[in-house]
Amino acid sequence: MISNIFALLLGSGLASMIFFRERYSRFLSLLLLVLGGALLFNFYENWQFGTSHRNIFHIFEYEKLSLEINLSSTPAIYALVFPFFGMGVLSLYNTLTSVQEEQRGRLSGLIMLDLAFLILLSCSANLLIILGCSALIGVVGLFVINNFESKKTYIFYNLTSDMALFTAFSIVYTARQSVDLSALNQYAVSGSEPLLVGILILLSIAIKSGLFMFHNQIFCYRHLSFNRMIFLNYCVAPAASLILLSKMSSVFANLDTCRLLIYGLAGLSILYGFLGALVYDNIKEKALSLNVLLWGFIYGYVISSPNISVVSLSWLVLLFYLLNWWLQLVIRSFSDEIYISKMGGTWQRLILLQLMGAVLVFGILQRLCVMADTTQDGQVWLWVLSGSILIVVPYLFVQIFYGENHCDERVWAFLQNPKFHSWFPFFVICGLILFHCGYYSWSLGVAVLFMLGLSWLNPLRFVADIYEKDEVQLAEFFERMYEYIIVAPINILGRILWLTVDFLLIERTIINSFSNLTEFLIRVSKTIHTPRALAYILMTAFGLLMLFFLVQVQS
Amino acid sequence: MIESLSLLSVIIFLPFVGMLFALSSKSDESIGNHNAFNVAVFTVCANLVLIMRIFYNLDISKSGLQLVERFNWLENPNIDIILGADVFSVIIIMAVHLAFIIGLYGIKRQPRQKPLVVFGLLFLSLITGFFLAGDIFSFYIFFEAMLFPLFMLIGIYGNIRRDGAIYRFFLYNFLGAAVLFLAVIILYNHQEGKLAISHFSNIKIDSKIEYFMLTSIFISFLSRIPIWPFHYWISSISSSIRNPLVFIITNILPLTGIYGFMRFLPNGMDMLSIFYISALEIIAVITMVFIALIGFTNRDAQYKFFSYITVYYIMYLLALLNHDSFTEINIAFSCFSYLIVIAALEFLSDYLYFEQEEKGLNPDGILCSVPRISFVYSFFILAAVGLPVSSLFVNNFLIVSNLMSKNLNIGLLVVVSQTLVSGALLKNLYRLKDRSRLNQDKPCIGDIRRKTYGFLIVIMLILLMSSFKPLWFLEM
Repeated sequence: MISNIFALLLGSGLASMIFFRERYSRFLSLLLLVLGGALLFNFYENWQFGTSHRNIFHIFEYEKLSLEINLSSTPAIYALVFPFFGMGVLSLYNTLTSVQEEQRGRLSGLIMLDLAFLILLSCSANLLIILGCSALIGVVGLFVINNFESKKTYIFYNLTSDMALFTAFSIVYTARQSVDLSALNQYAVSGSEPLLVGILILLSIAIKSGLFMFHNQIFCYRHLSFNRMIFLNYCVAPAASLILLSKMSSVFANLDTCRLLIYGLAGLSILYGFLGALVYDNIKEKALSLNVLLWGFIYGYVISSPNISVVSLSWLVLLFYLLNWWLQLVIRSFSDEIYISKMGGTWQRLILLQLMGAVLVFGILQRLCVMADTTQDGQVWLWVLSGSILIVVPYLFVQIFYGENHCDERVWAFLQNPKFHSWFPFFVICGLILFHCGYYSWSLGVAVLFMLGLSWLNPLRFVADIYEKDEVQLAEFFERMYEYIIVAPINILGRILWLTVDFLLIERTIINSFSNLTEFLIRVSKTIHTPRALAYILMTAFGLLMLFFLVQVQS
Repeated sequence: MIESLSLLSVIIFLPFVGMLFALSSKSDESIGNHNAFNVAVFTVCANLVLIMRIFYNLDISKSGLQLVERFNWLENPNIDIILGADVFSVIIIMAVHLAFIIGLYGIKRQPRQKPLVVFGLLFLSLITGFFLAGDIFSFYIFFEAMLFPLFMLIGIYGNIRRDGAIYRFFLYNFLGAAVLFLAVIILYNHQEGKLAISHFSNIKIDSKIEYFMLTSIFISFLSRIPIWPFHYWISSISSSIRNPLVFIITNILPLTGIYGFMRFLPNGMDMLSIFYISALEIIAVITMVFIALIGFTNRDAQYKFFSYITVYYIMYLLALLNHDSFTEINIAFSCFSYLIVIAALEFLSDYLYFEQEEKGLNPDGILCSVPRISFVYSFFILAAVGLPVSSLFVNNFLIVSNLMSKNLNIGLLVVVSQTLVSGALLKNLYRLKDRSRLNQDKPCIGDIRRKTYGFLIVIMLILLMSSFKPLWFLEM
């Protein structure tokens, strides 16, 4: 049952976080990998057998609100979660085998927790639980990030995203008095502010997946180890956003403005990802650009037709995860050299690595061809993604393996193909995917030939000149832009308000006026209370005046 | 047997008796003699047990005052003292006690505990009385009397700017006290001594006098809430006093204004009331956004806490103006977590402040070397931000939804302000955790002791339980 798997993932994750000891880190990581693998197998079995269970746990019931944890399973939920579960287990494996990873046990525990929350998010039909899961997945991501600057950027983006979701759900609850997911769909059809709700949900999803304009947080992951970076890109916030999209895509069905916005963001993401994959020298940044490209495609493709389900894209997401893994292996083969400009001319010594890449790219193309054949919807997006892959991948191959050798002596001396524990599972997974797909056609052959031709001709060789340009490689345009258009005005406004309202108006005007008034009254009373004839006369006159006034009022 | 006792009177007088014990105890912290402190802890814990007992005696499904106790104080003039409790007031009293106990823990290492404990217990007794007051006369007495211990505490523990803080405190609260006094006199004359709060909304008097009376009452409550321009005295005290207990007491005080609004807001709204309430909403929203903006930009951690507190109190006020019993109970549940969270944050913030002052350190990166405090501090910040680790998560959602149902723009501005203050708290957290700015040559601060850590973990568990079920302790 999915509830048992959830409980085991949550329990093991929490236990490993609480009882984590550095000394048993590798052992704990192995233990969690075995457990994760077993649970994945059980999950797969349940999916294949088409098991459905109904498990609803009531947390509390208010006068107008019931909150329940729904862990009911259906084949659709299994299909939605399975690729993420698979990628999570691969991340567990990666964590165990990664040489760079220092806190294996802790990271493995976090992966288990993340998977538990992803399962809960997928099963939930309650807006508050969805919001809570989304926030908790964000917190897991926060703990996975072990770099200060990345953490800071990440949390501000995620806070904005969750607040947008919070606002959207509040509006829906206000109108429908229900936190059921169906209330959101009803609201999208007949609510009073569907556009606002749509934009807020879109904002939340776009931030989580790091679409263009919000990709800054994704690019901050370049400071992390490759393993953590891949996990964050495929199993944390973007995974949550994809599940959110699968649950809420109906909201956008009648909102042309939102659909237009998504198309715009998706198109720009693909363009930015494509250009980034070409011009960035750092392989991590290339990988991140490819991820932006993928998420851009997914959003454009899913929104282009109601017939396309998110589940149909899960294999493609898994293949891109493997592409990131392959890039990680490239860096390992080059003794942790991360700049592509310092590679090349290694094809004779890295044949296994090339073979892995070739199989993987074939798998991606095969999957794209299947998608193109099965549905006529969203063909433009498929063509754009395929075109980008067909251009970027040969370029990457040429840069890494062919042409002039730019490796330094140390890298050249230690150049090595991936070890057994890396290539074996890689080939097994790729083999399974190819076998599962089983699609071979003339279009696939044309695509392969096109790539080979492009690799041979290398028409983009001039792009390599950009690697030298610091203004492209180091520039953080969007960070600066947000600094100028959001952070700086808030700071200035806050400062001005403090100076004018708090200091000038209240302190210097109101408080000081009262202070001066008190001083004046004290001075007057002091003057009156001096033993002089004038003071006596004044006092008597004041008393008489008061008496007169009182008599007048009473009469 | 315990049912036959006047539990409400007991929980008011127990802190007062504790105060007398603390006052007469010998206490010298320099030789490890913490008698006054121990008396305070014992008193508050004993009171918490009694509060739990009161909860068991309450019918949660009922609205209105229950367990009513009536005493005839004076026959001529005829003044009855009425005490009563409902779920809202008992939850708030419990939260105030828990916040107070956190504040007490925060002063354990500090010198001159005795005056703090004495005035603190006096305040606790008075504020408990205030929340249980069922008649306008006792309401007024408790409302004004609770200022005295705070006044003394600011005088004793304020820093170099305390004169200014006391002046502002006096100025604003004197204004509030004077106008409320006038309103009570009018009411007394009109009702001939029968001054039950529950009858307030049904009073029929001359409309001009009614407006004058309502205006006076609302101004007196506003003087307690950090709404423009009354926010200034609270911000002034918050940033001029570095003492967790005084900070907590100061920031519990606005709750009395909120509670006053809840009790006195008329049921029926005529045109003038609508005008007043609309004006109040506009001022409240502007203040909230304005304070949130300043909190976001100000580098002072205390001001950030103050801005967070302000945004929440104003949110509660705006929600109360909707006059909905469902929202009221949500405010109580939200307040329960909120008071605990701000008390814990202030406790930790003061601990860090004194440690860094002692060792001459910058706050930047100070949390990097102290895993225990770093963990609990992060937890409370995340709870404050509204993550699903406390009742703030669900109840704030319901409160904001309620606000949006009335006015979408107000609801949106509340969310924007919440985002800004959450951002401010997170910014401060990451400043404290910024390892890159840590001065490696200087010594690290000491982590909290295991006992304190255990205490804070218990508080965290209470918060976590409240996120699942606000009244979980009733099912134990």
